[in-house]
Amino acid sequence: MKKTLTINLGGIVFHIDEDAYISLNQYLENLKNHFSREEGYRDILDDIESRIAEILNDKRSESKQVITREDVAAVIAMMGQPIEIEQEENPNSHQDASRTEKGDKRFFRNPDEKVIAGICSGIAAYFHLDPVWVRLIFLVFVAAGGSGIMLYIVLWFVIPEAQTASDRLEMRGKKINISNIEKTMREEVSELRTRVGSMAGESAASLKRAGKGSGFFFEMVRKSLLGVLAFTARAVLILTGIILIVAGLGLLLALFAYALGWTGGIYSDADYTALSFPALANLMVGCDMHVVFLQLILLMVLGIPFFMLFYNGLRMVFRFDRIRHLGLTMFNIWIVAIFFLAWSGLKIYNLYKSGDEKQIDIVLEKPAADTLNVILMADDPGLKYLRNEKYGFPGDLKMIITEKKELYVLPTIRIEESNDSLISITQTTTARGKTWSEAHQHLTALRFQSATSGSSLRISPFVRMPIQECWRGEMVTLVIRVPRGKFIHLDQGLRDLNPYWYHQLNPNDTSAFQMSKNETEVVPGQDSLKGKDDTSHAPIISKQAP
Amino acid sequence: MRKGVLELCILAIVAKQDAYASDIITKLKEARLIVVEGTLYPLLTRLKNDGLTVYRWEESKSGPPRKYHQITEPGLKALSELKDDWQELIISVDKILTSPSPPGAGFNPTL
Repeated sequence: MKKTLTINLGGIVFHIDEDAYISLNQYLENLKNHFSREEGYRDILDDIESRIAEILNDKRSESKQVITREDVAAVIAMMGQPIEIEQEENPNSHQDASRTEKGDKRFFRNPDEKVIAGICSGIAAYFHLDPVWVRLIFLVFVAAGGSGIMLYIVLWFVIPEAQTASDRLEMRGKKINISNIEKTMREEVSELRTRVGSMAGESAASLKRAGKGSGFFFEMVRKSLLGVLAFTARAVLILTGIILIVAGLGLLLALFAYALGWTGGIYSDADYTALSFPALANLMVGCDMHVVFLQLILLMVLGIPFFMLFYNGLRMVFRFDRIRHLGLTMFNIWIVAIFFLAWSGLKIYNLYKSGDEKQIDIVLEKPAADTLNVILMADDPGLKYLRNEKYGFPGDLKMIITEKKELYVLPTIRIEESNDSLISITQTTTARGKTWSEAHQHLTALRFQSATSGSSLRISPFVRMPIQECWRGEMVTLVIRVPRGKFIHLDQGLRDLNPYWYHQLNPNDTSAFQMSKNETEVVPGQDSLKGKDDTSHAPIISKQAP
Repeated sequence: MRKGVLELCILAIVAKQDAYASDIITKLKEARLIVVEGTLYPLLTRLKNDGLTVYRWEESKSGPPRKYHQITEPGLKALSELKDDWQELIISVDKILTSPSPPGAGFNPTL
């Protein structure tokens, strides 16, 4: 329930909510104060009241008899606050400090060339830049933590839209761009030159007007300083240009080298994360997507910004006019590439969507032993590739693809502290795919051998799989749980195969790593070593997965 | 830049036909010359005080009587002067805008 008042506005009777009445009354009071210095301000106010009455009258209907606060707010927005009226009536007045003003230029949102609200385009108009650059900068801010989004929203509220023709003209002022700065500088420099050239003559003349001598001197100093400043600015510009050229070109080259796989052989750098891009793409998604397509996307998404760096560097140094529409075209292509990138990402995600997992507990025949011996199966067919230099050195090897189209991946071995007094081993096999059945199929195609004999665990050095299909994250993880006071002994073959495993065992704990190295000297049951400090020799151990 | 331009437009509108405030507002808004309606009223009052316009009351079917603005003889004279000024301004500005730039100077706007 609300209290309403009856008012007579411009000769029409209205029922009006009390709060609406208060805000309308306040508004009319403000107008009265504003216009009170005008001749005949009564007329103005009467006219405005009549107009308000007319608008409010249109808002009334059979079902809606009462003027609400919202109605009044709408009317005030239409009529304008005194300050807005002042601004529009007399744009040169500087009374309104809430709007950014600089000479005859103001920030406006540009409604004619807008993507979202015309903020970038308005800023570009203010500085006479191509809107593409401002948008790119915004996108960088968006990409770097999303601050660009916040900034955009704030600016949206703060910057008014250019609504009238005069707003549009005020939006652009004298242009500030490279060629303009250059022009000014060149003028300054040539002026300096003529100055210096006629120095001799002028100095003679200046003697005659000795009275003005000091003024002339200061003028000379001013001109020289300006000249020096101009040279410095030009030098900075050229230097920046050179840096941009070198950076842009370097980044472009690196990008091409990576995307097109110029970086040496595919398997020479055998840690698969360091595979060349085409090899990695082929291995992971090659069966479902064209690698060339992915290469193209990569080249465009990263290459276009790099190229524009290079291009603008060239412009700074060699001062040629910009190529028409180049920036806009590049930006459009880039946006399309971004779209395809998102699409490919989604597709790749789908390829890896479902996972299957198999877990088996390996049971030792003599679990009571103090030490678990882990022994390499020396007859594994994969071992012959290790001795072949073509496939790199075992030290940093993680993945091999053979001529027989088989993929060899090192299993992951992780050592954890056991909760009970027994050494236990769990072997987990995982694979992924579009669907569960596909993941399961990948899982069953995988070969990995492990066997126990006595207190020893014998394992195959590689996980082997056919790669008629792509690699879909197939992996074998062995988790060995060891209680405190018991030991693990890796045999020589295993240690030679991959010293990297030591890091896997204990990526962070260097003391435990030391212990692993000395382990060859640890003989089961040798009390002198064990007895010294049991806990320090415990094969424990990082809880983090490598 | 609009000093006098709004006055010129209002005079031109009322010279064509007697108009009341809403008509004038509609036309100025269509031309995107004003945004807030409040701008119009002080201008109308000023024109009236300067004797360039007069107004008369006319009955309305849908409400209270309306104030119709009408141009006067001095108003017509002022209008033609303002029009001439405007034409001259356009020609002068055009001359500068369309004059060819010396080779090698300036830049190519590619917006």
